[in-house]
Amino acid sequence: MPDAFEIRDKAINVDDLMERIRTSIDNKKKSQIYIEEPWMMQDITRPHTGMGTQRTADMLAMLRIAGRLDLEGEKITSHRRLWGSLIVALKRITRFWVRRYTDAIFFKQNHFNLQIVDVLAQMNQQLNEVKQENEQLKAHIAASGAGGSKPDDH
Amino acid sequence: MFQYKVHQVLPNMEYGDAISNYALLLQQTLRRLGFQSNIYAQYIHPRLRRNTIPLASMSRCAADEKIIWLFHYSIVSDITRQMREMRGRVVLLYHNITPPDLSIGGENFFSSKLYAGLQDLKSFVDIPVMAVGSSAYNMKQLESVGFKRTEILPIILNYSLFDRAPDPAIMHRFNDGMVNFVTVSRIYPHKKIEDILRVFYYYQNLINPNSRLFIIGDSKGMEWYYDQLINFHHKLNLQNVIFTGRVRFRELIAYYRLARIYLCMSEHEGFGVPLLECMYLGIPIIAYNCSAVGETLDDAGVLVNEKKCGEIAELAHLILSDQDLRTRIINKQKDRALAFQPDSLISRLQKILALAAQ
Repeated sequence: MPDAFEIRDKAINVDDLMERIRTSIDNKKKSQIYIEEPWMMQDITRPHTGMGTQRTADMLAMLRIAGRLDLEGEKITSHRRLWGSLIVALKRITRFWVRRYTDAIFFKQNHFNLQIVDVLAQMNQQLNEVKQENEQLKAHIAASGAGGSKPDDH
Repeated sequence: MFQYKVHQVLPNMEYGDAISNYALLLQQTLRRLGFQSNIYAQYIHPRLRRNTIPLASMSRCAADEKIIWLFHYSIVSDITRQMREMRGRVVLLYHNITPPDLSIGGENFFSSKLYAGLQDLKSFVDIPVMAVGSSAYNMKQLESVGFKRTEILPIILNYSLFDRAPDPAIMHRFNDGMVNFVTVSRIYPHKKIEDILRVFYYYQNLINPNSRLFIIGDSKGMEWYYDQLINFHHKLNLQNVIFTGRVRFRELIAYYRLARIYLCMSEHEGFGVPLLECMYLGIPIIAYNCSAVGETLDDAGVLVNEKKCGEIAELAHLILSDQDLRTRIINKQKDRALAFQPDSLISRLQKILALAAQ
């Protein structure tokens, strides 16, 4: 089994270091100041709401980001040395006039995108609530069926 | 050999990006060796336009057989298709693709891009004359994908850039005697920033409350993970944890100069450029031993085989307080950093080019 640490410099005594570390930790444990809560070691990339729920939440988050349209667009640049400034100026003028017509459409699209994601999020929440209710009912039925009376008894 | 030109191709030339800096340094080295060498890229940061040619111009050289194309591969792009049309000799420089299963559940946009990158790489096996990994770990990955002729060419760093003056505002703000921990990476799930928060929690609460943690890196595309980290850090009730986001180069230098120790708990690294930076700047490193981390550090730094946060924090305390231990680690790291200078790798580069030209 490999050591907890590897210091490949042979001049450094790793065993001595480990001994000092363990002594320090033991002292802290004896003083009852060393705390290890289970929640601290949980995988934060997988909150405990179930894989499927987390995946949907991730996708909704991504949709929210993707749905936001960047109206400014890419920065206008040109790699040409001599004509670059002129090209940039012409591109800026073109963008200005095109945006006078397209901005209204993009605003509407942007609004629609975000509304749709909100609706999906609400539907997702309702679905999760229904699922939870379903699980509770199943558990209740299973419990009634296990300890309750049989039809022939009546 | 000099009858060949050696050009580089990559999807993005980003200012401050490790692969972009490597491409620039490689270009300087190639020109010093007497080669005509250009860099072609799809996206070019405005500050790099002087050194880079738009990818569209590459088609003019498509028929030239006397070109060795160094194709930097780290992400799926349309360049793979374009490289098939080049008559010259293609050498793949592989910078590693994170395994998709290390991102969330393998079923989201980022994971799908990673998966697409691996598939794209597999489809490209028959084109390059050689595939070069930046580490033995990367080279093995290339071989597992199906590349027959492989070599290693570690990433080189222009250390003189790190001798520049740090950002004075950050130095003024944070040079206050607190013990500063630092980590530098993209805020991606496989980087396991939460493990660094756990180690820091132990250190700050049980060893030294007068401490600060800088988490330097961009979370673009991983905003959900960033939210989880913020929530977790609030739950731990940590003080003085600073998520800097993306920083300018002089700001990065300032954070490095303020740092007393570097933590890396990442569970996948194709090479680990920040490790080189820390080794050069004299910041002791504690890093989780996985993928190429052990290879990059070699006999320098401290490798952690088990993530026992209490033990790691206690070790950090020993390194910070035991001057003799600290000095030994730093000196060993500085020696190791020398192996990644351009001059150290010229012979390997020449060998790769000679093999490619055969």
